Amino acid sequence: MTWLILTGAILTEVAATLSLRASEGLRKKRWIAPVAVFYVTAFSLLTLALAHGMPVGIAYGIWAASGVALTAVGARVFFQERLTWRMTAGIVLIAIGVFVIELGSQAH
Amino acid sequence: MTKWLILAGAIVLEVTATLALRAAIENPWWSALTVIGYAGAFVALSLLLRLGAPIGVVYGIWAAAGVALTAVIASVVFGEPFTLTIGIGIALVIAGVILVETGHGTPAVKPSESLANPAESTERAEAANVVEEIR
Repeated sequence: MTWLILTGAILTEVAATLSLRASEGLRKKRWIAPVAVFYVTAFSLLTLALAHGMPVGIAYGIWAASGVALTAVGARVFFQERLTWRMTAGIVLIAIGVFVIELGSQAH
Repeated sequence: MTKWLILAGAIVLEVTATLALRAAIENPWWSALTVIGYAGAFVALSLLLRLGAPIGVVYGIWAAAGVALTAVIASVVFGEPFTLTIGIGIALVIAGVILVETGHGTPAVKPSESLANPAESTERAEAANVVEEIR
C-alpha cells in the first residue's frame, strides 16, 4: 500500500513537471491549474507515504530520482526532447538504485 | 563563489523542507517550514539560472546532494534504518540523477540535419531554453 501511494506521488510529480513545461514558464495560463493541482497532490501523497511509516530518507530518494528519470522520458515522448545515451544510462542506474533501496528496506 | 553559496543555500533549504515534511507527521506546524523551505529553494535555483549557471549541473548537484543529506540526517534525527544495501541504492540513484541532468549536453546535431532543417533545430534550441528557464 505504501509503495502504491509513493508511486502515485511520483506520477503526479512527473505530471506536474511536464505541465510546467507545457505552460512555457507559466506563460500559458490554462496549464497553471494542472501544475498547481498535480504538485499539491504529489506532496500530499508523499506526506501520506511518510504517515504510513515509510522512512523519509528512502521515500524522498526514490521519489526525487524516479521523478527525474520519468520526466526525461516524458519530455522525450511529449515534447520530442533529446534523450541521450548518457541520460538513458542515468535512467537505468536510477531504476537499479530504486530496486536496491527496495531490497534493502524490505530486509527490515 | 557566490553561485556555490547560493547552491549550498538551495540544498540546505531543500533538505530542511523535506525533513520538516517528515516532522509534520507528528506536529502539523512543521508544514510551514516545508512551504518556506521549498519556496526558498525554488527562488535560489531561479537566481542561479539568472546568473547563468549551467542548469543541468546545478540541478544535478542540488537533487543529488538533497537526496544524500536527507537520507543521512533522517537516520540520525528520526532513527531511520540506513543499511549498507540502502546506502548502495541511494549512491546508484544519485549517480543516475547526475547522469540524466548533465546528459542533455550540447545538441549533437549532424551538420546535414541542421542544414536540412535549420528552423527545426532553432525551435529545439528555444524549447531547451524554456525548459532550462523553468528548472
